Amino acid sequence: MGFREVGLSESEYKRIIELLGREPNELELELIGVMWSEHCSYKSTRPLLRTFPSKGKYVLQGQGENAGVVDMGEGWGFAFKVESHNHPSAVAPFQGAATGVGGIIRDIIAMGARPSVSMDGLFFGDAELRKTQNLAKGIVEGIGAYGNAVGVPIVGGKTFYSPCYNDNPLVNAFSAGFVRLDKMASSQTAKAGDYAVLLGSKTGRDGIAGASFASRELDEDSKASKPQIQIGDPFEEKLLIECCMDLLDKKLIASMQDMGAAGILSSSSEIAHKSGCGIDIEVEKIPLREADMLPWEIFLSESQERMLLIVEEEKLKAVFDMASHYGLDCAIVGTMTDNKLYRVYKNGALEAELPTSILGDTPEIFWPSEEPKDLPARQALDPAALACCDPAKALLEMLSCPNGRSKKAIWEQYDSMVQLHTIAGPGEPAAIVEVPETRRACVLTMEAEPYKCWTDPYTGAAEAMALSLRGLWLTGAEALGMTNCLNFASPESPEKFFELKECLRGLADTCRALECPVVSGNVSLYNETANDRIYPTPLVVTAGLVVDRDKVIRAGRAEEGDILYLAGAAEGSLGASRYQQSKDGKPLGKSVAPNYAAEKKFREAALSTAHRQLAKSGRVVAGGGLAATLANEAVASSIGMTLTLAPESSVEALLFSEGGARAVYAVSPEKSAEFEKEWKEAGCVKIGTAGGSDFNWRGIMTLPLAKLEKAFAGEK
Amino acid sequence: MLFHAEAVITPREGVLDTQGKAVEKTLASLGYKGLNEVRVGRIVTMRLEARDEGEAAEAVKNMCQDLLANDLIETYKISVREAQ
Amino acid sequence: MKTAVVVFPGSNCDRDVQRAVSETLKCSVDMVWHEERDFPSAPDLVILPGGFSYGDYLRSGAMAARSPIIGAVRKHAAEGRLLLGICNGFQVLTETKLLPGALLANTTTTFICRKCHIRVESTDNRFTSGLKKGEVVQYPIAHHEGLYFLPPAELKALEEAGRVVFRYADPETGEAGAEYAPNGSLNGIAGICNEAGNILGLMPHPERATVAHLNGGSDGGAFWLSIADDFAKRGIL
Repeated sequence: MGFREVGLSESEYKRIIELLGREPNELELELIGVMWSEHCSYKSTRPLLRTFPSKGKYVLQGQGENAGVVDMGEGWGFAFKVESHNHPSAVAPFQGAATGVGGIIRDIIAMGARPSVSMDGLFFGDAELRKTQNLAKGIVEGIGAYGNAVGVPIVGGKTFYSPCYNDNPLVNAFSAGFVRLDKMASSQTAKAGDYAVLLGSKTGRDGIAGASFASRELDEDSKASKPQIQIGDPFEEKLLIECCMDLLDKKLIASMQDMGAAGILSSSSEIAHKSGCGIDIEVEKIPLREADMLPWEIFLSESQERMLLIVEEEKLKAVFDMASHYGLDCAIVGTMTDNKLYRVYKNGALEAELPTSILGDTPEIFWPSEEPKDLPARQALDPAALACCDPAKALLEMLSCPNGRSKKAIWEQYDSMVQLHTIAGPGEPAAIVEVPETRRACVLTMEAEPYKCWTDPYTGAAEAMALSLRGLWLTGAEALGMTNCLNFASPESPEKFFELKECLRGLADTCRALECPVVSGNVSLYNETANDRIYPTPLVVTAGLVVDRDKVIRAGRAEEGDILYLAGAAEGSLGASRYQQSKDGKPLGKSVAPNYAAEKKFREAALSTAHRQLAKSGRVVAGGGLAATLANEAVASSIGMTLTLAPESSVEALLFSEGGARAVYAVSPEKSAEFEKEWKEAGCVKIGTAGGSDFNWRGIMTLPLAKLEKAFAGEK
Repeated sequence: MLFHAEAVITPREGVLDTQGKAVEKTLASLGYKGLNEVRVGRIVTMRLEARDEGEAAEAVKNMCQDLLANDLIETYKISVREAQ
Repeated sequence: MKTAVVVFPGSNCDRDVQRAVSETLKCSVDMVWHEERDFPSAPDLVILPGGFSYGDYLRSGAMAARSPIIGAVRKHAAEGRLLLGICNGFQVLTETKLLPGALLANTTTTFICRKCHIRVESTDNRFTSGLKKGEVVQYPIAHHEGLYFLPPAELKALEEAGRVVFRYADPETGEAGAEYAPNGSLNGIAGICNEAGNILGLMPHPERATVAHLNGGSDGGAFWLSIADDFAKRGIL
């Protein structure tokens, strides 16, 4: 076997020989090839990821672990991470999405946390295409089938449609869990003499070389590669959760790691390398589903529902007893050593011997970057083409189009209430869940702005990040940290790499300026086929904290007689907005540049508005602009509105421009003076009142509320 | 002796088969004509030791009654043959 | 009063029920693993919780209905003590034949999670005597197999015996029936009891409507208090 067959370049192979002082044998070459693959090593993006701010006063565990952990106070940590399962979901929608949910849940278990909430970022192709509908149906059912059975509520998410995902749907699975600080687990605390124990499913041939599969472009052969797809068993996973929680509770585990990409190989080599140990693995001791598996197949298998535990000798019996209580397979497969070597034995014979550093310290690649030649064309916008002749019709289109309409048909298929801690679930702009046994609440927002990242990668990514923060601040939550899923096309194209680089710069700058550290993340590259590439799609999930769950502001609570305000002085842009896209059929024009001073003023006023409960309801201005935001608020509150705000420039700019730190609030008349005082610095303007059963924008449009409701429900 | 047994379990006549109805609707939408009554059930296959075919069939029948089928809503058919 | 919640492998509402009961009734709740053959201390109320026992493989509730603890559950019910099955627990009760009928896949063929309105159809049992007959309450549902099925003659007898306890309803008009059932349930049935009135099975989750600040609302609190009232009348505190 040559180095090319395992995905290595000639220079990488030379480096391996240099590091080893010899040629690797076949098994060693396989192991290195997988660990050095894009999927496992992030070699194309690691230098960029280092630019993310990683420290903050709430960060307990930053990047480099299975998931990040932030401090929720009163002894509780919150572990969270989002991960892509794009390629598997494209090939086998149901199983691909289901195992995506299962995989990210195990990352949370590995931190010692009980998986408490899930969310999903879904990016589908043209909603009218039968292909998209079939893919979406399978993906949604797969997420539901796994999430519902495993008993982790799906409390929110994001669904976005664009033809750029026709051939490359994206499934970004987020999961999070609460952990007592004294029960946190780690993959860096193994010691020489400890035993490596495999808990959960037997190892089969499923998902073999999935890691390198995920880093290759989808081609016509991908149908033939179906057997590589893993099958999920949420029942086994539920038992795994309960077993691990009990093991952690009784402090029986020294260290643990979930098995994701490249299964046993990556989990065992990472735990050894990060703990500064070596490990000897006896391959014949690994429980197999198929007897005739070869060592490399066993090491690379991505069979689901397995965890690697590191256990001290005197605790082995208790661990085995617990596994048997839950009916789980459990086997000692190796021992930790102090020689920093990764050694594989088969029936006593040494089959591979590598320094753990060769598997753990992987190379980096610096791809050339070049501004896309068509970037000026993407950013050119013809204002005349955007003129709005019929504002009422345009607003109904903003609400009823696939990206605007209610996603209830999707989220009703998910159990959003199990575990009895969901305060605000799907359908609301921010998800809110109880921090166990306290009055505190955790707030989560998930955002992505693919149109804006396409026309202007830096500002588009910055806007997506800022939007997720505004959603937290509005509820009254302080931002604790962010996790991200970076979905891009091939980095080998200089223009694509430019977009990637600029998006990451936008995220990093915004996180730094607005004090939100990045605690975990995932990169998915090569989301392209011969005919199609996705728009740059960095997705962010931001976690925030509210100290008193009764002092939050939610959307959809406007009442008769409330005064409506547009708060925050920022100006939006029609560039790459939902409205612009509906007019031109593709995203064009620049989105609004970040203004961190305005964001900070917005943050202070929004947090104080919530803490002082100065508003009844609030909603950040998002997709579809001010008009769609108000219409969404009217529908969610089941109340009409009379709006008096007049356009300064064009009607369409007033109604539909997006971006910038802005929100609408519904305030009771007796609190309006206090509210205005609070927003003096950040700026606010009275725009109307709530009441009646019409959505009436003076001089612009009048629509019965029922019509808005119908549009939002997706009916024409 | 080792036998190969198969139990085919289908929804009882008159019991609403939501899966079957959904499959029928989808097949019709794909252009398949002349369909009526699509029913979806499940097959349980097993290998088991028994003295003879009769004993094997009896054992599988008991399994169906005890667990594999719910006689209120399902019926079953059993086939048994000697395993290769 | 002593409550026990049976935990099957794959149960996922066991802790939720424990919290709802212990917070509402300020009592301790024992969690009993399915492999036990007896309850630790003779409970007054046994709850079979929601979830996906045994992964819902084969048929919902089928394998849980054959697990070791079920002998003790039957004995408990035969002694006239209270047995409550919620969602998957209801499916287990029909699979054990402690309650008649079966729960089939929803007519939508999808899992449905939403808040649902149900009408109290009968108060002549040990669970709902403290509720008002005809009142409409809101409990969430979350299931894939919630279509209650019973052959016509038996269904008629069940109705006539007043054993339909909850029925899906319209909150505006108070009307109840099949047309309000999100899952296609026959006659809109959401919950039934046995003849003696000490076994109740229902698909909606009262425990999810118990903690007032959560998104399931608080209508379920009265359900637990109704059970406690029944016990209080019998001198069980």
